[in-house]
Amino acid sequence: MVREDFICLTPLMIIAGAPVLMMLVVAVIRSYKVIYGLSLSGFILAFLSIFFLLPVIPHATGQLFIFDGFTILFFVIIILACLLITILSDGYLVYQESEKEEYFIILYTSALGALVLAAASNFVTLFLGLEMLSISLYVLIAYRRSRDNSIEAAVKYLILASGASGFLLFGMGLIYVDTGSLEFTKIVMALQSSGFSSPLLLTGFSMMVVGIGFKLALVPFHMWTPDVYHGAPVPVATFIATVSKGAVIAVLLRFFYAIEGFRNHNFILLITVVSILSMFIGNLLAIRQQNLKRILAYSSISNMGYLVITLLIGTKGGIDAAVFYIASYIITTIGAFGVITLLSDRDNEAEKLKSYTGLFWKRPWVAIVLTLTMLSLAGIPITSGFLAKFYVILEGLNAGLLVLVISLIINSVIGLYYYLRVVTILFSPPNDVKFPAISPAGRLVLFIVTLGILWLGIFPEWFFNLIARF
Amino acid sequence: MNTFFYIAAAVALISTGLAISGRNAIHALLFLIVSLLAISVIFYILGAPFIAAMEIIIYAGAVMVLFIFVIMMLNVGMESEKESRWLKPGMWILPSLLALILLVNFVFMLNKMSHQNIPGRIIEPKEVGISLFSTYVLGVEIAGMLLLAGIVGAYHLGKQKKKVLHRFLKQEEIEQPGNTEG
Amino acid sequence: MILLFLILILLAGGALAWITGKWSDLLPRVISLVALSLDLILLIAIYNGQSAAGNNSWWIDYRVDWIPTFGISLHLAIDGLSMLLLALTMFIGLVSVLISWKEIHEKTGFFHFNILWILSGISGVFLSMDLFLFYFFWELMLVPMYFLISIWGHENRIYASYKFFIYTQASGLLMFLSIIALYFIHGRSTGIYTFDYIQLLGTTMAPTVAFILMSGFLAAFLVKLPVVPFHNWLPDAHTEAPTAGSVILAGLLLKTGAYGLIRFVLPLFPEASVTFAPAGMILGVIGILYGAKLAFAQTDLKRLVAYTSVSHMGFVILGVYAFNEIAMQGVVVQMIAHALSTGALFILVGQLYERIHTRDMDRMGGLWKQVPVMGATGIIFAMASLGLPGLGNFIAEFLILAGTFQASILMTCLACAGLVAATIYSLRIVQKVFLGKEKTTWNISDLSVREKIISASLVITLVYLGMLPQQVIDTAKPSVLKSLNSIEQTRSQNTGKPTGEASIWCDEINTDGASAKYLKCKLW
Repeated sequence: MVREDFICLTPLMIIAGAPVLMMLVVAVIRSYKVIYGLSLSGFILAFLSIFFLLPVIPHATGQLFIFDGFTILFFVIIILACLLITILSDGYLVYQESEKEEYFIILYTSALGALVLAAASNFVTLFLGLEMLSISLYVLIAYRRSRDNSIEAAVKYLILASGASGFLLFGMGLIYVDTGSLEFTKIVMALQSSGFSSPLLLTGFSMMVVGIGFKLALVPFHMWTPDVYHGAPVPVATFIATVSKGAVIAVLLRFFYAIEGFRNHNFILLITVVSILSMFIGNLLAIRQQNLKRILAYSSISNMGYLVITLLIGTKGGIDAAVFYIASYIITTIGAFGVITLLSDRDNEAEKLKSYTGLFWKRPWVAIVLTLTMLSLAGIPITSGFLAKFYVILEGLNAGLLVLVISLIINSVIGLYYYLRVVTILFSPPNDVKFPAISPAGRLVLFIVTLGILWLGIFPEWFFNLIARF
Repeated sequence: MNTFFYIAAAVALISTGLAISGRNAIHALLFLIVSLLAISVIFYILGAPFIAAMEIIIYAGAVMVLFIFVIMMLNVGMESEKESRWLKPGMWILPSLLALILLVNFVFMLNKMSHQNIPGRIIEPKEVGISLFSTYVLGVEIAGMLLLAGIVGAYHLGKQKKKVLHRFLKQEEIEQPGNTEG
Repeated sequence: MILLFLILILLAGGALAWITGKWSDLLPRVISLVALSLDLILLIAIYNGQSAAGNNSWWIDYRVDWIPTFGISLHLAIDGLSMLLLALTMFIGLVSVLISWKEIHEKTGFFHFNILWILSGISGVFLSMDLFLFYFFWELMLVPMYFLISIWGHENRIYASYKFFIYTQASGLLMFLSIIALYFIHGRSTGIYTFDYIQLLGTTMAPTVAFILMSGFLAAFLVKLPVVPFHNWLPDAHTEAPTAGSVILAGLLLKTGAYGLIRFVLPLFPEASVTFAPAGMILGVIGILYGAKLAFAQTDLKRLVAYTSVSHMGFVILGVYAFNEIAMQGVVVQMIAHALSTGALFILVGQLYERIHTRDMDRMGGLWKQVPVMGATGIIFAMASLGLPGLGNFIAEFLILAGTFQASILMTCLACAGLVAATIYSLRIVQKVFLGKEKTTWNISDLSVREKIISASLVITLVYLGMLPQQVIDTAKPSVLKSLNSIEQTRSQNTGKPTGEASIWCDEINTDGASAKYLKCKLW
């Protein structure tokens, strides 16, 4: 271990140290305020520590981690998303009857899992990160045990995620058998000499696709998504939709681009089919939903379908497009779920579409935020979603992925239908559903999200430059 | 050498299948233990004695703990006749048989085994230790955090709480106080 | 910079109107009027400052980088055509604010926000010289329009607004795809990756590719225009929208389609346009006749007026694909005249609806006795719609037909039949609403002063356009020639090798711009 190693590991160490500290504090004094303060400051500290990484990247820590610009970008995205989710959780946990403190400890371990994934350069770290994420999520999903669907959702996620982990592990094993290494770089080298010819290797990769596809909720593996989103507490659903998916995408991009999977026709076929299926099935199933959380779940399926297009682009531009897309998707999704969180009360989460009728006339600002997020998901100009889709279409066309780009466009139109449905409901004549007041912190989150969506949507140049620089 | 492997693998597959299809949780666990034993034999054949031992100590041990846990959690009380049903020969005879096959397999193998017919090289505990605490030290740390998450989560979910009922159910609770547990 | 201000004033005015809407109903209206007047004054200043120059180039050209990574710039420019359409935008905008004065009572602030943002989107479309920016504005105007229909519309508003949004968005995305493809084709051949219209102008590409890309653009413009197989959204959207929405839809949104054809499709894809021209003209004629037929069959007055738009827009596409200056000038005048006359008819319907709360023509009749002033203006607008000499539409349709005649006699004849149909449906409006037997006795008041001002201003503009169209024609001339230039070049290259598609089409060799034309028409 050298000095650079420690510098690079600082964000991870902070995120790992914070839950330990919190546990000790809980042992001495159980104070929600202290724990909440600790978790806020932990994320802020971790975010600030990223700046110390800048001079030393790119740097590989042993065989397990790689810290390069790509890692940094995802660190920033993940940590900021976690920070926003922490603030949202605070408003939500008011309704938790007892033991709110552990929530943040587990949120931290799952954030650590996400960070590990983003920096993983080895199957060991990939698997450990993924497992840490999953195990923390089982707990988080069931955190409010008194809620109706929590346990069901958690068990569903537990069983399916374990199955997916099994596939992933088996796939890694097969790849290890063939290449003799767990390190991405060594696997790449082995591949360069042997190519993708070996059936063992292809089976291994296909099994990994099952495991990863499950985490991203790509289509043949998407069944859990709506139920889990529905059953989980809203901030946790936010976490699953944003941080968890972002981290998995990060490692997937890194691995796929390293092995140059976009040159192999088997992979091209596989990803194309999965992507098109995800787009269509996600969007078509979303149309009839009456529950906003489920709509967002299906929308996330189709969005991941759009996002995996970037895997096949195979240039730096493809990675940049993916980063922009995921950043835009995360901020938008946090906005949408944030509104649901902030409008939830003790007994009911504000998830039924009907309860939003006429929100605009009762809570204009909240409704505008929700409208903006919906428009951003639909890809309408002045929102970040538009530029994200533009970027993907641009790079996709550049790489000649005409079929995928055209199905993206068809799906944008299908998607528009149900996003508009939400917007229409917001602007209908009001009903008499009462929503709780929104805390100043919640307002801050919504404000940040709105600003982010518009800023990325109107002045994206700085972000493009930022991505391109790393 | 291959025969030994195939016998152990067959035992592993059969017992895992029975573990999955078993109706009774405790019997399923018995098969699971046999399956783990079989896998441990396979590791041994592959030249990884340390992992083989770990498999037994940790998995089988942990599973035993789980076993006890399940009994404690499902502690349905006054079930002595249930207990006697569990101990019927029909229940334990199949796992024992499988374990016996494994044992025979293992003993024969020890007779025949020599360093030459082990595929690959033998990995000593020392090597495992060295790689865990040098190359993979960060991985071990992360695994530690993973356990932390598991422990805290288990604590939170497993904790006996005051029953909190949905507001619609509260009414019911007052009316039929006996029916709310479970 | 001044061009950017034109848009920013509207955007800021919209935001301000929304905020002040909380406190009073009056403030948003006043703010909107002020913003629009300010823009109109700016435009007049631009017009006066420039008329001395009067040459081919852009009057004002403003360009700053927006997203240089992709060669996207904030490139705005104005020329005669943009000038006319912008002035029209502001004028129609003023009219829409004025007619909503009494009609809209709820959420006034948000209403005016939407109006102003639609108008700024439209202004952006007319000013953009960067294809990305163009698409940006193209989409920007959809959302507020959607709100306008879905919040303040009539009974079936949700359905109509969905249909409107999805139709236009779907077709817009196809255009977007074409824009990006064009960007790459240009970038690969020249090494300069840019969305800038002027740089993209000379892009060379294979004819098939050009045709496919043009189809993308056409999808967006033909849906917006609308041309017959894609007109389905229009009657619903127009009928269900509040009056101001209908006026803006008919008066301005449809014009963006025509503008796109003239500004983008013809110069960017001259060869493909020539290939498409016969089909375009047929579509135009079908639109004229079919729209007129449907208009005649309606009992809902607003729906009737909506279908007349389909018919009138048929003239626009017919004129565009006639490829000569006279027809193209006619198209420009038609755009303005149609905006005024159809807008006026929608206003009339709105005024009637405010008074008798129905749009069903079977329940009207004999209203003249009650509202003579309204009846008189109604007759004037109906006459404008049927193309009575002396009013703007006559000039427009005459020019288009005169131009088309040089291109295809058959098409001209069929289009003339459309004029007869126009007479029938226009007279039917007058007959069923103002004259004839009184079906129900309504007790209603005549036009108020505000309404009189609106109607009078529209009548005056229509008459002015009908009597002295020269100023409009002069202003539009350089732009029209610019648009036709590339077509002329293509066609002069192609002379001598008649193609199969040229059967309806007539080759013309243009020797001297507009005047001397040597025609050799081959009809079937």
